[in-house]
Amino acid sequence: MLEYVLKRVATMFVTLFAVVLLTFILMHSVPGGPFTAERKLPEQVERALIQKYKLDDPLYKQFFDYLKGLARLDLGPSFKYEGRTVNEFIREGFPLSARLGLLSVGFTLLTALPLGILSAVKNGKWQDILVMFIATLGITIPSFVIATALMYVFSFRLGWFPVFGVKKLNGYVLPVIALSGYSLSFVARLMRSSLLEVMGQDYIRTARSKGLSESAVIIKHALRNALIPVVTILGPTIAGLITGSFVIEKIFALPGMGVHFVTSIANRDYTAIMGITIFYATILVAMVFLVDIFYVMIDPRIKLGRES
Amino acid sequence: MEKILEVKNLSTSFFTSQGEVQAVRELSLSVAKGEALGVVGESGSGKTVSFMSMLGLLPNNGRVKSGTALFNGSDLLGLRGRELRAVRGRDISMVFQDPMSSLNPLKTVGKQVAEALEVHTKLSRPEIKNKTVEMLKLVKIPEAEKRYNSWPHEFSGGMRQRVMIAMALVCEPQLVIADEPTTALDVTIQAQILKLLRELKDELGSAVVFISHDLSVIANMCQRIVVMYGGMVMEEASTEEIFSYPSHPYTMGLLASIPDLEQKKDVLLDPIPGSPPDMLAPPPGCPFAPRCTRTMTICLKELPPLAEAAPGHSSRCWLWSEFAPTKGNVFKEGAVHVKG
Repeated sequence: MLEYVLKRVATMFVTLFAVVLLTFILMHSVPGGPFTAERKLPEQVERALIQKYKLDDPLYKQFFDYLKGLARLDLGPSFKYEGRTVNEFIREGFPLSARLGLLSVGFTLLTALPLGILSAVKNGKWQDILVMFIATLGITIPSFVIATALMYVFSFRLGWFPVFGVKKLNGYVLPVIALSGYSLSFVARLMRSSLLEVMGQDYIRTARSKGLSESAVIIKHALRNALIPVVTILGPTIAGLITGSFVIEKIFALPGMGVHFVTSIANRDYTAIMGITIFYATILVAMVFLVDIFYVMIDPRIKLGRES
Repeated sequence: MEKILEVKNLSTSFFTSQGEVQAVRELSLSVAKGEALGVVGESGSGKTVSFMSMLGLLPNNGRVKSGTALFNGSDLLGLRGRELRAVRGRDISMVFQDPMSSLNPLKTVGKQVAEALEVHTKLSRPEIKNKTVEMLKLVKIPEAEKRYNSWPHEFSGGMRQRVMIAMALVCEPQLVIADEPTTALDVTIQAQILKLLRELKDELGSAVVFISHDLSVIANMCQRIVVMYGGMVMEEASTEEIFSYPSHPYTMGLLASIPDLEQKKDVLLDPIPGSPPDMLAPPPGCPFAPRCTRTMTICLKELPPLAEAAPGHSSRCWLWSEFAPTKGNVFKEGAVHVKG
């Protein structure tokens, strides 16, 4: 187990290095730079800025300088916002995004799994049709539409929840629902189809032929098998929810990470792009790692490392 | 002999988007206490479906349309929910065809065998474990105590089938339905599993219904054989009679298509031409008539009744009818069958 974990951590660093390198190359291949603006800066000012941020160094040197900073977990100063660092952006934005994300993860799991199971068990009955109808809506309607609709009904009309901000705890309710909408529907559908597939397997027939009740067959035999594909997509889903959705944060005026990510690209704020991408990638890779560990716990067929 | 299972006029259909597939039609058969009955027929002849019907294990689109299946006097087809589950695994258990897919990959083999005891007995945990290990020993799994905690994927096909057999026998059922238990196995493993089944059957005194498409496998196991075709019983007799005096053209065709070790190299096997009938629209006459070499006019029009070819030997063929011609009739002319 330990050997496996160490190996996985090593490959995680390789993956992250690839992310850093690719982002760096892509970012520098995009025309324009942090100091290109509609109104041209005086030449001397621009040159001074370029020198200050060492943008006139050869690219490979810039890259190694950046890596050195990264090794100290220093993501560098923002090119666009004088005197601010990328670490600060993350420190300020991430806690809110993470809180929103974790609440959404919890909400997704607590609703999507039972709904998917219910749907599969009641295959073809009205419960199934209702759940799948809602889930299809959840997948097809973009989150900003759901968000605005929720806002209109529950904030403006009924006044149950604040329109924006999370000063009061119930301010989380609408953003969480809007943010979870897609993943919730997706997970519910996957849970349903996966459970239905498992229910048609030979070993389910074996379990029934032993005299187990239908609920025992589902709980003791079908569920664990059906969870495997669901767990697979849970990693990226959780990472995505935690790192925040720009759209939802924008609509509900929440100062999370998503806003920084999008504006940094528009601004060609090199360090901010790099920093936030790496941060996002780290969370994603960590989640996939956790999922792999979780796999081993639920599926004995998956062997760790080179045991045999 | 006392009958433990008596099936009468069982009809089962599947309702598909193309229409009603009549998988089993008016099937009647019986199993005596401790007997080994062979049910033979090609794929799609309704062998498995008929027994699945009795245990309520049909897929969702399958429905029993009529019939009774008396098991120790109570009709299995009338049982629901709890009552039916009490029979499954305790009184009647099953061994399935494909041991690779019939075991839950996420449960240890020991737990899967023990589960039947957990459901049907009030034994304590250690007692259940002891009995399970004993059962694993009985099916000749080496180091049974250690293997109790093994996962199915760590077992070979033959070993998995031993686990399936242990699972089926652990509650000492009165009837075991073995549905092509050796089809997915190597020939050598097949022989071992057959031997094991025979020994255990004698040891535990359970009756066995042995479903197979392979007559030679059944010949080894069973005293009596039911030949099925198109969802119906075509012929039923003791194993000896079936092999010595096959009394239905289909059975004769099946026997002719068994390869013979002494056969010359250039002599081709004699397969039955054509393919089984479409059960969406079964032919009005004998289901085998379109492929039969001895078809008469009536065969295509009307279903033949089960006729007595000899005591304890019945055959669903118009050639046995009292109105059938004697001349050129294999069953009447050449004294193929010695009556009595």
